[in-house]
Amino acid sequence: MDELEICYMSAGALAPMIQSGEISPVEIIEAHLSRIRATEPVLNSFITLLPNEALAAARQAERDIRAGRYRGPLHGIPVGLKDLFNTGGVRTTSGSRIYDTFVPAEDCTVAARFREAGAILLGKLNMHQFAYGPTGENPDYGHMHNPWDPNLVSGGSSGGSGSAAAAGQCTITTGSDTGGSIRIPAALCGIVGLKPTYGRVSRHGLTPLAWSMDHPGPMVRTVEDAATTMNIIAGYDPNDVASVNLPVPDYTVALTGDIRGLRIGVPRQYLEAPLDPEVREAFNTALSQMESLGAEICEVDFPQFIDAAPISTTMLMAEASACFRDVLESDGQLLYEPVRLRLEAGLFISAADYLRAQQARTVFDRAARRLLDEVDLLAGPTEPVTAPPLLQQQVLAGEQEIGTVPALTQYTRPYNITGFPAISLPCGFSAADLPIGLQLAGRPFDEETVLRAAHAYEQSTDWHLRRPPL
Amino acid sequence: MPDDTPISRQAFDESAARLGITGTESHMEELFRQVQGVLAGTASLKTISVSGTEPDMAFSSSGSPSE
Repeated sequence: MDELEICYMSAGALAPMIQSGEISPVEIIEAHLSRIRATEPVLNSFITLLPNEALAAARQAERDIRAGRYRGPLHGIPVGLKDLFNTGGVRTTSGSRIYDTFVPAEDCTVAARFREAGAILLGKLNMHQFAYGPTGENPDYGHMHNPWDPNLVSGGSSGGSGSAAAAGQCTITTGSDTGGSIRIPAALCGIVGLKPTYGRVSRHGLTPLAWSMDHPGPMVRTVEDAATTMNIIAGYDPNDVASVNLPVPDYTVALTGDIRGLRIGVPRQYLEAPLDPEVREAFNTALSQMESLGAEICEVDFPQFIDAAPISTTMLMAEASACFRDVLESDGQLLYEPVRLRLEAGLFISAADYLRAQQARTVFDRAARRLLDEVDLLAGPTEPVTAPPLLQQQVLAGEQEIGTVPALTQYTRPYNITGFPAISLPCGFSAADLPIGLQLAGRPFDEETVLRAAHAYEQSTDWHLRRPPL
Repeated sequence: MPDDTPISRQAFDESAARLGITGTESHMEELFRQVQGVLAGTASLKTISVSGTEPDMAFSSSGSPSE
């Protein structure tokens, strides 16, 4: 089989071939290593690549499967982890040279679950330093580049995960999302990114950014692979104080293709915010498509939307500065200047203001939950713009020029405040051939409805089948 | 004339010293600019009615809807 075809196959397509022996994990890993060698000079998706370890694991997987010890749908599947997921025996930098030689003794819970499932770790993926930015900037390990146009950002903070999945460097990647860091690169790179409900996937062994808003989750090329990955990584973990002990369903069962009668609300305020006309058109076309599949689309009123920015910014900055205060004091001069400035600025937020933001969070959360009494899902564009150029400080969204950071987090941060599950999936391309993302958010711990709707829409379009020109 | 900025330069310098923040003149100037923006954002929280609302000190997504 052609190596490039292997690299663009989903885990769902590869798994039965691996199980039957039609394809070997060794062949899959070799194909991906070739793809990485060919594209990495342009993309810079990886901080640490593990070719020898991955090939050794693939040979072991091949032996195990031949001996009848097939472990399930991720056995032999190439995975890349954002470099803030601790991996036992493999350095974990959090995107900073301060931790260039840090080698955790143990896997984080997510990495351990991938390992138990037989997935093969190809390497650790590049990220915005300390996950503190939505653009994928990193002077220590090099900036990340968008596979659709390397002059543009891949998005952040999980930028290496977005570019690696989009370019066929990995079948499955992971990200963490505090203000949009899974969904932003997913939208800008044209892949699927799921931020699960807060407490659904363990944060144990991940470098925190803001404890109350950090969410790990899958970044993949198909909704089915997001569901399959969730089957492995979701679930209670006593090592994470935020982990919630609720049963985990088989998420793939939810992928029925049937969204008849599903009520999807579009907050009026989303479309009144700065928004590129091409994104608006793609979003409206996606809504029409879901309506044609039987969903009921309606406008809802969410006036609290404008409060998302001050609430999330205050909480994020205060918590991040608390998380990294020791690093700031000991090694502040080694930090990327914009990250250092943000961390220092957060120290000026008073305890009273932080608690005010927490009070406002409760008000915001209640309002959002009331909306989900009226409808099953909330829909909007994931991003108001397509990928902007690297290091550009302002973007044009419709007729308004706004800061790149507030623009890229405009639609994502509300669901970090509420903790609702939210997915981004491709819903079109701009005239410049840049991906556009659709965001669907659901009730807490109802990832099934989010995945069901996303899958039905995805399968009725071919946006997810497009490949970047690499 | 009243100063309508969220924090004066003198108050910023005193707070920075108390927090142990030091840097070049250009670094401190940029930090001052950013702190102005951050504090303007926190000030805008005052426009949100939160009377009678306790902060969720242990945030959880598992609370019941519409409470």
